[in-house]
Amino acid sequence: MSTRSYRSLFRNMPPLRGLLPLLLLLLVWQIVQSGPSPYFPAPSEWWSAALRLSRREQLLSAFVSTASSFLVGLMLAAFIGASLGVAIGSSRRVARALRPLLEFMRSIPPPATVPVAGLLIGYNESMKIVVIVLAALWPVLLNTSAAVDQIHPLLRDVSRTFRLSARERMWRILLPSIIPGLLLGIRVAIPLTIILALLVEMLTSLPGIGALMIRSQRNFQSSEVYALLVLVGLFGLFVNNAFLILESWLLRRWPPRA
Amino acid sequence: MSPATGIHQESHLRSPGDVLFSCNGVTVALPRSHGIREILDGITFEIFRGEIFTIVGTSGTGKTTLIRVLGGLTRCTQGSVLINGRPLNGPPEEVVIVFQDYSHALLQWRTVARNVGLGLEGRLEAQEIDIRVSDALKLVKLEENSDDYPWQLSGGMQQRVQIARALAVRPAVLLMDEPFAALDAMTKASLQDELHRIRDETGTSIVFVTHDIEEAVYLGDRIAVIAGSPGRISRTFDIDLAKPRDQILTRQMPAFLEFRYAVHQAIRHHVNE
Amino acid sequence: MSEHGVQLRINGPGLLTVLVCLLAWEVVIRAALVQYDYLPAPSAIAAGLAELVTTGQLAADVGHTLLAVFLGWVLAVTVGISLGMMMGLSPTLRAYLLASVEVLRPLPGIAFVPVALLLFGFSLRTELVVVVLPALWPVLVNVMGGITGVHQRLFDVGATFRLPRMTLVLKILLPAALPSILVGMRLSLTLALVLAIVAEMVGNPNGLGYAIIRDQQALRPDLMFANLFVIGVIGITLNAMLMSGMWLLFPSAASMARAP
Repeated sequence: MSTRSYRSLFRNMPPLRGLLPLLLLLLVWQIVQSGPSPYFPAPSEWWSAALRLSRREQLLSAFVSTASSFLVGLMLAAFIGASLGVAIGSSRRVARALRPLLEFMRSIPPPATVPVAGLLIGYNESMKIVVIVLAALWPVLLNTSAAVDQIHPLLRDVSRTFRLSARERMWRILLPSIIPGLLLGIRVAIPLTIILALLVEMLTSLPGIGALMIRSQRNFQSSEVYALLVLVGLFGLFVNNAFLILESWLLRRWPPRA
Repeated sequence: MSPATGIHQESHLRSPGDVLFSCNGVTVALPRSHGIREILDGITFEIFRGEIFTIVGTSGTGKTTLIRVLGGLTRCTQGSVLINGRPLNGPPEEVVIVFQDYSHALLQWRTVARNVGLGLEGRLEAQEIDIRVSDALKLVKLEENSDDYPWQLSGGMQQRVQIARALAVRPAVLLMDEPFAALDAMTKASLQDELHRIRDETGTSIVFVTHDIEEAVYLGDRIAVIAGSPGRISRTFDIDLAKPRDQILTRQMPAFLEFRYAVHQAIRHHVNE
Repeated sequence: MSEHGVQLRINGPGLLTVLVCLLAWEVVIRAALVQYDYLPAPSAIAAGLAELVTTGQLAADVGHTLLAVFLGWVLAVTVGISLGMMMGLSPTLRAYLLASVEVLRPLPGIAFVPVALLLFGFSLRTELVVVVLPALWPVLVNVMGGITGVHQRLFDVGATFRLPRMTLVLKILLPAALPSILVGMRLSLTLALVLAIVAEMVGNPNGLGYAIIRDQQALRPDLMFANLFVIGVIGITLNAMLMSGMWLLFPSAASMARAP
């Protein structure tokens, strides 16, 4: 595996001096407001709050809870969404027949489904996963079915010329063709998954960062709230970029996207 | 006439006042990832009023860079370019470039007429602009299409729109960077003849860059052969083929074949140096 | 395929599928084939919808949510276009801001709810904070990308005709970037609706988001589903209205902005 793709990723990174405004903001904030405060605690307070939370052993378990729901939900959504996407994309008639139904279901904001799921399934981990999967599978499904639809008709002739069996067609033509679209769908689903995991935790107080945030907010522990916000931000940043790296590694043999 | 004696070098029969554009020792070196890359080296030639001057060379000889330098888009590292005796400082008023990729050079969201008027907006009264636009469209025979959008037209027609847009500002020199390279052979041929006609009707000088040797000989009054990397002028000579030129007859003339041979030789000898 | 923003041909098989699903759902519940205490039949949902309309509750909730979405979206678009244009036109500004944008962008909007609650309590301002901050990113990114993505040739054309800088920006760069700008505005609108609902569920007890929570606590699943349906309809309608508006104002750019 050549390091060329990693280097080109780093070349595409924005210049580091772009972080200056953010760092300056934090610096000014720290100077102006050097102590705790109900509304705008200093960044140093965020750090001590984070240490407090981790000492109480709440931080790690909450983080693990959120992160695992995120991963499990995302992977299930990817699998289900891809399977359905391939099924739907393979037949123009099926795609057309299902389009209004799917369009409508897609336009229901996933957060709104959380109370409904709570009522129907109850307040437990399975409800959390169900909600996440039901929401995250749409981008995967749509992108996968579009990818199937966009498989060049010439490839169909190619498979006929070589008299490929159905299984060979699937492994050698179909699956490789949909991988870029599938990965794009997963990438779109990631922020949605994070939001839903946090939302369920906030509404139901199921264990997780979201629950911690609401609890800190209700106890007016502002520095804890800010600390958790930064944590969530870092998590989002890490996950998004880790996936970008994974995606470019997986797609290293594909022609670059136009 | 044998190749050795039939080609007239650098005609000295014109007066200095006819020199419109001159290039003196133009060298262009651009910074690259490792050090500096020389694109052009010591380019020197003159362009006279009202002539078609073709520059022919293979890819990689810096032809596009040369057009950009002449058009004031790129600065040369050494040497100078003079227009009407004046050194270049940015794109000069008397010069307009016509680009090879017409679909990117035209404003696809504007009608043909509004495209052609682009260089005149804010500089002339609206009525005057309308007159110039319709004159330009008449020159390229596209009066019927003034309300069409570029994406509705064929490649050849889009390139004609670009030419009309350049002509509308009444430049003294038209710089054309392989303008017909993306078109099919028949369209290319008809546009070559249109270019002759446009020059005859307007008296605009044309600097025409191409990699097509036959096109360069067919079109040009004078021709410069650029070769090597960095690009250098290998030879410059007059092309005194009879006018008006004809796609079939002219291309069969012995003189045409000799000029073509001379260009081939100029390229090949330079490469072997 | 239709070039317009609104689908003009009736999708026969599509409508049929929807009707069949609804019918099957109704039958399954009525015949008690599936035992779910809180899953209402479509007919019950329709009745619930009628109830919401006649009591005026729906109008109040929809009104609030639409207000929040509209205000938030306009704010997000304004900030996003301004910043996006500045960053698109100035490489220096871009170099000094882009990394910060890339760090702030992945922040989930919902994480702002507790902070906004701390600062503004249960109010419209909380809701707007939650809507605007994340919804401005699609606009900013797309505007900036639209401008930086303008083909080099258009800059060359501006140079060879010696167009003044303002003319270049207004007559060439902006029109060329318009399809991207419109895509950003569309994405932002969809996001604004989702964020408003989220904010109403956990932050500002008003509007459709809160209505669903309220219905849940009152154990009225029929009203919950009715509100869910309304939210879906609003989502589709807002999108369609925006596309039609764009198509009326900028036909060529709108047809290029049809990305999902």
